[in-house]
Amino acid sequence: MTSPQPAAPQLERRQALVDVRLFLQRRSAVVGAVIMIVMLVLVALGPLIAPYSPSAPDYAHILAAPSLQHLMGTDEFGRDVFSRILWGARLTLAVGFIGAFASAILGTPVGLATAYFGGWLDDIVMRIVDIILSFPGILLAIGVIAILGPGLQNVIITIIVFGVPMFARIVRGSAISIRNLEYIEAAKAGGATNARILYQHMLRNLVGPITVQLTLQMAQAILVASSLGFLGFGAQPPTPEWGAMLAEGRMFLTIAPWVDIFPGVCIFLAVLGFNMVGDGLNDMLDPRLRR
Amino acid sequence: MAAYFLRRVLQIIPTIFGVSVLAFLFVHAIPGNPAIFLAGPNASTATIHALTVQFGLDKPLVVQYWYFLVNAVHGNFGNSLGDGQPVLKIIGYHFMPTVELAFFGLGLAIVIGVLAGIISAVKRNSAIDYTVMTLSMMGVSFPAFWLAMMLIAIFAVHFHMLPSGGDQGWKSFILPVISLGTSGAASIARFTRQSMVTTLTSDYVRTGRAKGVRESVLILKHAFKNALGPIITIIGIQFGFLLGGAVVVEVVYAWPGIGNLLITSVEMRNYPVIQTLLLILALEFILASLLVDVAYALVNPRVRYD
Repeated sequence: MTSPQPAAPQLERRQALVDVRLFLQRRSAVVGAVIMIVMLVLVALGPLIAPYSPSAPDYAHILAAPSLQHLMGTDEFGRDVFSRILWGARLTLAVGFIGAFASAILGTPVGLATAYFGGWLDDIVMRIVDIILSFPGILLAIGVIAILGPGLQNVIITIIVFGVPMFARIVRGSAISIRNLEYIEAAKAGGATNARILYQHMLRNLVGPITVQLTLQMAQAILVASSLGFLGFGAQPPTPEWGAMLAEGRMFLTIAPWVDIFPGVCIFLAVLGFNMVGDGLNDMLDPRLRR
Repeated sequence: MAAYFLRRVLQIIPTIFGVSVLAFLFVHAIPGNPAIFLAGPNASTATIHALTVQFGLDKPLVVQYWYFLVNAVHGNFGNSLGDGQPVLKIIGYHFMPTVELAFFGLGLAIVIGVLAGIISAVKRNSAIDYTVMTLSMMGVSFPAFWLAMMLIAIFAVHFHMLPSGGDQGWKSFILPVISLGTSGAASIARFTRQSMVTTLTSDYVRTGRAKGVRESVLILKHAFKNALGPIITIIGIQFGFLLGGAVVVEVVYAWPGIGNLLITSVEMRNYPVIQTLLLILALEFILASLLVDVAYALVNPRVRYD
């Protein structure tokens, strides 16, 4: 049982206030945050706002151009592109969220432990990390898909396979920089258990870099998920996953470009939003860049 | 320098070993008898038996790995399913188109990225700087395959200026190279700016300016030379992204490279080809990282004495 520390939450709140102000000073970070919030709203409410069914064909209106009736036009089965995008947000973005969060949850303890304990544990684990990251990102993903077979679930697994070592490496890097600081020494001298030092003194001080990495990882995960969807290794048609929608619409690029423009714009905006927020957070945490 | 190089080469040996183990384990991760995957669904019992003997598939894993390694060193990665050609021959046929694409893509990314980054850093907080940084933020966020499709729609379909795919003549290079190089150029620009801002605001540059060194000499010789380290690092990282990005871009442009080969192999469950491609691409990536580290040590002597 760890005893509660009454002083800590107060201090944190004051720090958080300063952080928010710094964040708001960056226009690009704010724009990114707005995009992120819109995307989250799409994930939560998408199917409720969608004017049409994402799967019901309407052969009277095949490949119709964008109009007031069909804001983003219709595809080769007369399905409303706008409605499909709203439904698809849950797939493309959820895969990104789940993949990135799972990577953080699994990779962070690995990075913390290797940095803190060092020695043979560090040597072996980091060697394995090096080996996995020797395969360029999407190639590793394709290799994993070749074993597991296509599907949205397996896309999440591939994102985790790459994300965990990535997190482990970055968290380890940040953790090493604080591992020998005096307050850690003081905690050790004071008789704190390893678990307590790792959680209370190290993890809580690494929340910043971990959040930055999480945001950037989400951007990457969305790109990988949609690329795999496009290659036909992710969600299968008629699922309205954004990457898969692009693959389906590819044949109609010449006669109905809207089928390809809108899902692509959505992927682009989602990735852009997360990148901008991650970048803003990163600048905020790095005082050298504030000039 | 020689000692540093030797140490770095020795360091990558365990990584190469690990990568070869992973590639070896790849066919074993698929449930079922590897000999059947390697021989293909229509293979005769005799073929399966021959493969079992050649790769020692009836022996313990460690022995099998040894067979795999010996065969690999002799350039024998088995035969492709379907047409039965040696895997290495098929990969060799698809190799050059990808290398050419990656070469020009990386070249474009370096030229545009470094130039834009320097200009942005020199004119920092100006309208040019904001424009470059906004564009580069967009550049790293484009899904490469979507950019490729949009470029086809505009330049091939609408304006009929450039071919939409295939590998015929220099014109067919333009769109794939742009699709591939954009995100690299954007990342390189961001890192170049960051690195240049650090050196441009340093004391030695201020001293140089005070004693009347010409601004162009100051920027290129004093600031840029010292900013090179992080720029080389990001170029090395981009090389890995490029190999990955090339896969989707090759599919969109029907480019006859190893990216397309990989995708068709996965679709056809052509495991010998997938296994070899994973191994070769990882080795290529490791080699690129080695070259980057050596280049880094050349421009930054401090690294060598760590």
